[in-house]
Amino acid sequence: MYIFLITYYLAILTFYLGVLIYSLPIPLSNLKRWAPRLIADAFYIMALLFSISSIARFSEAIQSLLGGSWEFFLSYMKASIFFRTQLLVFLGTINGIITQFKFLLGLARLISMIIRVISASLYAFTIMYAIATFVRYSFWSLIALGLALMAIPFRIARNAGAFLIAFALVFNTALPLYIQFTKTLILSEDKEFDTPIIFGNIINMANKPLYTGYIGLEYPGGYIGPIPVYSSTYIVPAVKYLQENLTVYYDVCGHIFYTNITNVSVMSLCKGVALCKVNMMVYGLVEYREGIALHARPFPKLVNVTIFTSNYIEIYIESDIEYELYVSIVDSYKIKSFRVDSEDIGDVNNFYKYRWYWYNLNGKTYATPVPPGKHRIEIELTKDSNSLVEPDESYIYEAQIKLVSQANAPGLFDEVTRIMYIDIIGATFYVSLLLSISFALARLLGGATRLRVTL
Amino acid sequence: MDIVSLIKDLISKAVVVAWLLFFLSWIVGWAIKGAPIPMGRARKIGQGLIEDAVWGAFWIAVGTTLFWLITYISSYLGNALPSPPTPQMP
Repeated sequence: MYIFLITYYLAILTFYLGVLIYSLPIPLSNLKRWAPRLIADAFYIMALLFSISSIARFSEAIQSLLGGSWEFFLSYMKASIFFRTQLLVFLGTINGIITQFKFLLGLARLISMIIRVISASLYAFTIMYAIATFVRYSFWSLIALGLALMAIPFRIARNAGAFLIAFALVFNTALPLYIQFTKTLILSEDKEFDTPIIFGNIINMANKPLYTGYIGLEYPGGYIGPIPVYSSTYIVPAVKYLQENLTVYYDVCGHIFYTNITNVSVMSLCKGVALCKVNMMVYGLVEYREGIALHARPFPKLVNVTIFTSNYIEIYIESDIEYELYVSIVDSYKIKSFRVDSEDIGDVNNFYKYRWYWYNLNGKTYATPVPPGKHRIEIELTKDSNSLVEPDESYIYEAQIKLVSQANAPGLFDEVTRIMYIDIIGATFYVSLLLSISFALARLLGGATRLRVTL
Repeated sequence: MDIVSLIKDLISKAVVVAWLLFFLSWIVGWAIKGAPIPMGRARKIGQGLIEDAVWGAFWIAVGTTLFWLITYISSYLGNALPSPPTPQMP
């Protein structure tokens, strides 16, 4: 507000300086030519000063007419940046897993290349977000400063001031229209908002993440499984099979554990949001690793598996009610000893419940009742190193093929390509478009015919 | 407030100087115009000085009115800037 006052008085000063030059008894025509210029400038700046708020309101009206909104744009940018960072984390995890296999190093290179491109897209979006917040929050300061610079007599800072005003006006009006720009020019259909990206963690009932295991999907057309779990975080675009009623099971050791996603359409949980988080909670399972599954019913209050190897398991459990702890192991393992609070419970075969058949593996389940309270449970196992502990590769491969074919693979590929390349091009292209518009508007506002600024 | 009071001070000084210079250049212009110099260019210089001086006086007189008019119109648009200073002769 204070700067507007300065502009006002500077305009009046310009006027009276022009008048003064008219009255000078020096017959230099170049000097006298400044006089009408200064007087005209003064009136122009006054008119601009008083109409700038109407101009700003008019441009905001145009913006809402074209369907742009700052809140929506800022949340879209935040969601895009967040999604790209999640994608980078996810790809980094895959990279970490793959580098453990020496024969997959080529694939690791490919994934690093994709990571580099997605990082570039992330940079472009972050720069655009920075420009957006800058323009949004200092819009009026830019306008005021621009006007004050324009009002300085003798047109010293006139072009600079005009550029500031034009930059602020154009970017404030047109930046939120980037979403419409990408929709109409680059995408044929707006995939981003009709098919949201769903991500989340896979957790057990104690909210601890599950890092390994297998997932099965049952949808009205059939069952796909076992799909291996590589990380406790998952990211999927909401493709066709997520739009139908879906049940997700955790399929390990001959048991199918229900999750909280039972006969729901995941899309209905994510209405109209570009990015949404759905945690998958597996009921009953404590932890799974390499053919050993620990589960309990009813689920105790607190459970913490401190050591979990193929030979030794240590669990700290606390519960208010009595429950049964189930240990399901494939036939390659044998339980050597089972201790509750350092007290051996005796022959494990007394607690044998049943056998099961899991894809190509056989296994057994033992169940021990545990009284309420805090307990420390230790299990010692022996592993027969020659036999398998995980389902055969053929089942996993088959499940993944079915998943990819169900998931409308070309759509997925389009999505990733769009993220990788089009957003980089789109963001920089759009910013340069807006910059050229603001240069032209600055020339219109500045109107300097004799003073040429080469940029 | 310093810059604003500085500018206001400059405005009043400029107006005083402009009035005085108006009288000076009007006199000087008529002097050159009326002087017995045979060259036509000197008389044109004098004519130019007189004309510009009169224009200057016109704009001084009219300027305050015009600024008041602009602020009056803009007060209808809702802008609350103060009324322009009316600089007087000392």
